[in-house]
Amino acid sequence: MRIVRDERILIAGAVLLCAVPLVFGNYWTGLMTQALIFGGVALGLDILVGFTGLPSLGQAAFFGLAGYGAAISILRYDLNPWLAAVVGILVSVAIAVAFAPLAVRMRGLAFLTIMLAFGQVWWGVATRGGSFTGGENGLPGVRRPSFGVSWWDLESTNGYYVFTLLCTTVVCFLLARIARSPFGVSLIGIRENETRMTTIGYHVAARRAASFAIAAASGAVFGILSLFFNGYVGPGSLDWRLSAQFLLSVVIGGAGTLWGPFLAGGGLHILKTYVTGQTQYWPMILGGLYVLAVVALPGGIASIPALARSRRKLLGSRPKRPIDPAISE
Amino acid sequence: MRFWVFQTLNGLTTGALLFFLASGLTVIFGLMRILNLAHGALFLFGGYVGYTVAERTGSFVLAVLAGAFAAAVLGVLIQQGFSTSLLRSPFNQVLLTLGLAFIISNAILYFWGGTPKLLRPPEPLRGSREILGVFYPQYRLMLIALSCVTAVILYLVWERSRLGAIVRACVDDREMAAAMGIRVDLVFAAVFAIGAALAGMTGVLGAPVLGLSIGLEFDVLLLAVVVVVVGGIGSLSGAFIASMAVGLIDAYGKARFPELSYFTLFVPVILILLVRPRGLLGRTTVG
Repeated sequence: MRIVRDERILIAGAVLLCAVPLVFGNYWTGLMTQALIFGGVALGLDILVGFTGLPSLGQAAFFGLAGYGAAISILRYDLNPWLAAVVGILVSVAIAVAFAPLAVRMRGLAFLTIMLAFGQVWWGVATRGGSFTGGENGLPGVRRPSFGVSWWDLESTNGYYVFTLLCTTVVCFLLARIARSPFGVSLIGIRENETRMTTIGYHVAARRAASFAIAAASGAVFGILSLFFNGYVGPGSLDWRLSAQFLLSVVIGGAGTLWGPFLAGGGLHILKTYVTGQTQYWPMILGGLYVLAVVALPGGIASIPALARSRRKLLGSRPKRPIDPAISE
Repeated sequence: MRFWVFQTLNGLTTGALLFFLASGLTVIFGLMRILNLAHGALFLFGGYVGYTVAERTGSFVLAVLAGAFAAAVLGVLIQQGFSTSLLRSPFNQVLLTLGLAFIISNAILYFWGGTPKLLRPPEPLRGSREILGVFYPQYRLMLIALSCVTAVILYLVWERSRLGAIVRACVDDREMAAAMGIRVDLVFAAVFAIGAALAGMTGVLGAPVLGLSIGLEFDVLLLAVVVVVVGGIGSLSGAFIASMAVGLIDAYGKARFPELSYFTLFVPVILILLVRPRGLLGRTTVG
């Protein structure tokens, strides 16, 4: 298990990423903003998928619900954008906390399916919600909040990029801390041997629900960042295909490693944007990539350093076994 | 009264198509523990092959056979192409089969283009017929009847034949079945082929009702997965009951509360799974 052990690496990475607006133009800075958002969602989902071992195909629900919550607060109730952001996150987390005790009774593919159904419910509500949710067209025209200072303008591409980077760093820092805490380790214990954890005296269901809520909360934060970036939220942000993209980012990155899913989530978005611009046959390339990932790199991106090391040393440590909660014992 | 008859028939039509699709999916899932997310793509592929055959020959029956055969060939290729050890983890399954689904549906876009296709029902079934006071398309009535016949045949094969006994043995205890001298790998290939053939057949049979378009494969896949999990994994009777239930709930919900159509479909699904995590008639846990 490789967790981002050293906060200094995280901070160094963040400082390095600060240089993006200085080196690249507006297009790439905007793209990097979105890459941070998608990477962040994948990282949050990894707490649930990689640590607790529950494969969720409904993460987009929390991402989209927060966006809708904030957008409706701003457009329908004229709320201050900062306050609306808090409302959006609270709405999303409240729904997650209400649903968590039910959902975590499931395991494996039943959990996957119930989360799929859960996501579809909200997607249905958004598309059929008439003028309140904007229906198929979603809710455009959401303005970004402002700090009220001239040197940090969130309306500018660079200003918003730095804001997103700051939020992402804070969330990543917190999630890495949670992952390393006794709580995070107990989640791994639950994934590996639920019966033993119960026997030791852990309240397994409560810990499962807590990890569910943590993944949902981080999804909600990035849902808000995405809303303000686009100035728009639509049913696409609740689509199960987006949930699939998040889950696959975790798997391709290497479940349970946090930094792998983050890289994969961001990388997939950049690749998708680039290839979509080139050809209408991008699903072919994406599909090929998924197949290749399973066949060539079963441990995900995170297993590359270990693979490289073992190749260099010939007798070096073998790559860590990927996390595979087998469907049946 | 008319409303209810009409919507019931609509629901049963959807349920019939869902059953054809979900029966293959559920047996593959129960037998091999593979949630084949490429099942929808096989459905669409069969449908398009059938469309082309129907255009060339004018025969609907030939189109159905060709669609089923093409999907079966592709299905076996997929099954043989990847060793099952790769597919032991649900993560890899989702990744691999969804990747294949993207590739297949994109290949369909490449060969057949993006314009939606509509297949006409065969000549003798084009009109409508009066039933319980409403006029309903004959072709759809035939689909409902066909699904009931198929359900009975599958049930008899499953419960009463030697072949069914072998497959059920493999579902319940794969190692023991192998120890008894059953060629488990052959059973896997055969079941995958039959499941894929059913999916391809559904593509052609469903074309006059649903049409053929890119994106349809994921819409039907979503419903089929729900049917499989609600019915109970590996259970054909469960799949039949769940298909009809999902079809009816969807039809009534869409007609009565169009603004809540997904709510009315997926909330009962969540409730059923909470009460019965193994599905209605499932014997093994999903997780």
